[in-house]
Amino acid sequence: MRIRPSNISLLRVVIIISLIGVIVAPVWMWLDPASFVKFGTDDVIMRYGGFERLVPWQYAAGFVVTALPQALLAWSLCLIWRLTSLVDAGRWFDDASESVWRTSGKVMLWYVLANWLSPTALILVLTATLGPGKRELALSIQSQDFLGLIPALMALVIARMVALARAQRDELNEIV
Amino acid sequence: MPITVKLDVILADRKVKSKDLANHIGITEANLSLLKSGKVKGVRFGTLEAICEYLACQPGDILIYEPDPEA
Repeated sequence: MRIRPSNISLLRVVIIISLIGVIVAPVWMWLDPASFVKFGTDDVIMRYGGFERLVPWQYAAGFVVTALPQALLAWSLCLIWRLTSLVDAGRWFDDASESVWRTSGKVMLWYVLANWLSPTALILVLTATLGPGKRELALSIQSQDFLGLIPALMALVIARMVALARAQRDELNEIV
Repeated sequence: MPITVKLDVILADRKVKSKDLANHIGITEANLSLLKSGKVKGVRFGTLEAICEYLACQPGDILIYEPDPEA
């Protein structure tokens, strides 16, 4: 498939829509839980008594642990946006694009970790005010928790490929 | 590097200007200058062929192997 301006524009639309979804969802969930649960219920919070019984610091901490993976995902989307700008400028093969690929891969790895640990931290926060014996440390592993590893590792491999290809190009440029 | 480029010697022998040779080979004078000073990592067979054709010489007249005495 050829890279045309329309492809890039379409990709940017997808990035913007994804960014809105990623940023709005956790903010909305914690700012106005009553209206948010009409569209999608967070099982963990409802399972542990809902938003009503939470004290202010639990709201803040709950928001942080829920929003952190989303913030990392948003950062990764911003990096993909930066890549589209580099492609537009014809700089898809220079050190800047290599750096963005590498950073994107690392951010996605952090996202996978944060997204996996987020329910654990949330349950800790939600049960912190309960009496002794009722506080919980729950850790779960599902295959879908690690789906993010695929784009993360792909981005890191692409960064490595760009680095090697640039080194090879530079070497070939020294052959007359 | 133990490979020495003797192109400048051949050019002087044949009384050929670098500019003319560069034009014949199809490379820039800057790259030819780098080749003469041995500051390139390699020479394409096509470039070597064009040099030998223009200067009526053999690759061995241009590239000399001189073993490194410290190696």
